[in-house]
Amino acid sequence: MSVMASGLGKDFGSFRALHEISFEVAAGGSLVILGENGAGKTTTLRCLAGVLRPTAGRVEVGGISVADDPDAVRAQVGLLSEMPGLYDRMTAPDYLDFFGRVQGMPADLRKKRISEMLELFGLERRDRVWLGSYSKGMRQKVALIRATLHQPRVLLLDEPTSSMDPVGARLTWDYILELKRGGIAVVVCTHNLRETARVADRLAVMAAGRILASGTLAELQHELGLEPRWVQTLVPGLEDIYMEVMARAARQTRSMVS
Amino acid sequence: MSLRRLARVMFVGVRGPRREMVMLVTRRDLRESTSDARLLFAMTSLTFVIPFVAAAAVAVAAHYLGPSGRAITERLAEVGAFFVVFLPASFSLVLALESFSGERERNTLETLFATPLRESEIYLGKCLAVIIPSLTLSYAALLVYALSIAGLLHFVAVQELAPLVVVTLAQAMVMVAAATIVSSQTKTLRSANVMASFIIIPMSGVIQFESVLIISSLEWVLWAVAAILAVIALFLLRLGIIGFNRENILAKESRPPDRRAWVSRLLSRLPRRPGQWANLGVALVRATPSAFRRSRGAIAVSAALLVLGGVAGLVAQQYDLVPVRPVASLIATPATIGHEAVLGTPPLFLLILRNNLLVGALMVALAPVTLGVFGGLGTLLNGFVVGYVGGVFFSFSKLGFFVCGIAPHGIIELPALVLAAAFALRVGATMVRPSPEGWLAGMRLSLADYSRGALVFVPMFAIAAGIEAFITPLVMKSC
Repeated sequence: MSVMASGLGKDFGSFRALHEISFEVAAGGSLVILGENGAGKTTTLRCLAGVLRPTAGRVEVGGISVADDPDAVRAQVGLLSEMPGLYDRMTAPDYLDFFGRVQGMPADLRKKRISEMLELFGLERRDRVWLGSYSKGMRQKVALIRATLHQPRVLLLDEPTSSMDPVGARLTWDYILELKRGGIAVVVCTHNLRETARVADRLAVMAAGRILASGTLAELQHELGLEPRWVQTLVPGLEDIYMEVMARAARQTRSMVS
Repeated sequence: MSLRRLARVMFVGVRGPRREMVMLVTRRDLRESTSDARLLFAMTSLTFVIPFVAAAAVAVAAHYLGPSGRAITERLAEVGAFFVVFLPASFSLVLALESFSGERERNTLETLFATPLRESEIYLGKCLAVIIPSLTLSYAALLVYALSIAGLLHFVAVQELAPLVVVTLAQAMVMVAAATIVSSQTKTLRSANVMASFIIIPMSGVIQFESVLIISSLEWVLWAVAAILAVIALFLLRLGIIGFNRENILAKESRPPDRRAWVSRLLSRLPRRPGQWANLGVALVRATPSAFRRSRGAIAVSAALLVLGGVAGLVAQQYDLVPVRPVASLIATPATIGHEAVLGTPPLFLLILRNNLLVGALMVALAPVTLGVFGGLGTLLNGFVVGYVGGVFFSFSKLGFFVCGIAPHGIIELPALVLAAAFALRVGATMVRPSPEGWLAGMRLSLADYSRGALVFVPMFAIAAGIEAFITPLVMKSC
């Protein structure tokens, strides 16, 4: 099991942030945690990432207990927090190189991965510009590259596409699905219910530090007694139209450049 | 103690830093601070312009004072050197607040926390990145100043520059270490800047004290000041190392502020009926032994400071290192505490008791802002006075008389002082080393332990005051 939480509890002084959180995510599997603000999603991710020490229960990442060896856990995890947390007066390659060094990646691998990933996210042309001048969505992309640069076994994402435009969001979800297919366990916290369906193997709904319901989509439908029904949807919808317009504009720019 | 062993002691209880990771963090932070052109321009121009202006001002003063005022000019030149190096050294405070609180505010600290970097590596790397530019600029400013003075006045006070170099290092270390503690206690850069006045004000006092030393031709004391500052810096660095951890810093963001609920809970717990007060008293007495057990380390430190102060006082007196007058002013005599306080009378008893209780109360009141240092200084100073006065009587072969004058009440008063300081030290330490149950719970426990300790040291103060007012004078007469 790549990620396992069993009876996870977290107290901050007299305030109990998490109560008896339990779930498992296998390699190549995914769990989407849904919940309102203050439900405990971010605290759960921080405990899984070895950033916070659980007060109760057990958390294991790749078979290593967070309580026993948090350093080793952090080396196996890629954490993308809701705020990108970039250094404004650094260029993207320098920034990523710093984190690659921190993760102990060899120089040639760092260089190769950084250039590949910047290209993948369409940021290669801005590699001499300080991160402070990047848009919110671009910053989120750089943060995602940072979280996955060292090829972690577990990816923990907190609102990964919150500031992205639809094209960037789709690209990001495609990338996350690609990583998942490559055997990485993914845990995502989000408010965005539409995005969830694409990536979620299992879902957990949290409120006030507790998991209220968890399971696959079908299991939850059954558990809650909600009958599946077909809904007619107009295709192409607004998102498809937007994507098509953007794709045509990109093709036009490419042909003009060439 | 070798540097390696000292480093090992500093990182006891935390995972020690790896050099390459520390340097990685240092290089990145240095790059950050040197990439801001406006900041860099301000720092370098102040570093090079102010020393030259200061040297020119001294040269103007020398011109007006003439050859007869040579001694005053030299003193002015030395004092000027202190202010010239203090300005760039104080950049370390700004850079440290920016490096710790600023990163926290921009959420970049959490990003670092999510990597395999150890807290000690992040902490040390950042401290180095702050110390290196400010010290470089300080020493550059000193060089510019020394060269300007040499060029304009044709003298260089090398013997005063050597302790200044060391004192500047210690000052910068104190400011950086204190700034890291302030940063770990605040959520925003703005509140950290406000709290920084707790650092700037005492440091300005230190600079003024150093100037007084130079004007009074007591330059050699600068070495002692440097040593004391270095010890304080190491103490603060240790506290910073303990306080700088993921759990402590991120917990502050995760815990919802609920001050109103906390106050109402506290008020609801206050006893209302006489019976409840009696129960509280019994509970307090029962919990006192455990409070002493928890404070064993602090009591040992406080006692050690008293002994250290005593030895320092004795040495200072024997080698005539400190003049008698300032020490004499610290001793309570009928002349210093008022006419109504006549030996062997109740007013003197009340006065002594009031003074001792005031010191005990101040120790705990100032503990949160001085991190308990005020309590430690209290015992150190008392030990110093006892050692110094003992030295004076020893010099006149009147040690027996001294013992008669100190021992009857001192045997109770000094341990009471040690206890009061120890419990205050714990309150100060809790500021930077929160208990696993959280900062508030730790603070509550250390304050509760102080009140439990007061059950012991307040009666001791009262007994000691009674002995000092009524019995000691009689014993001294018979000696």
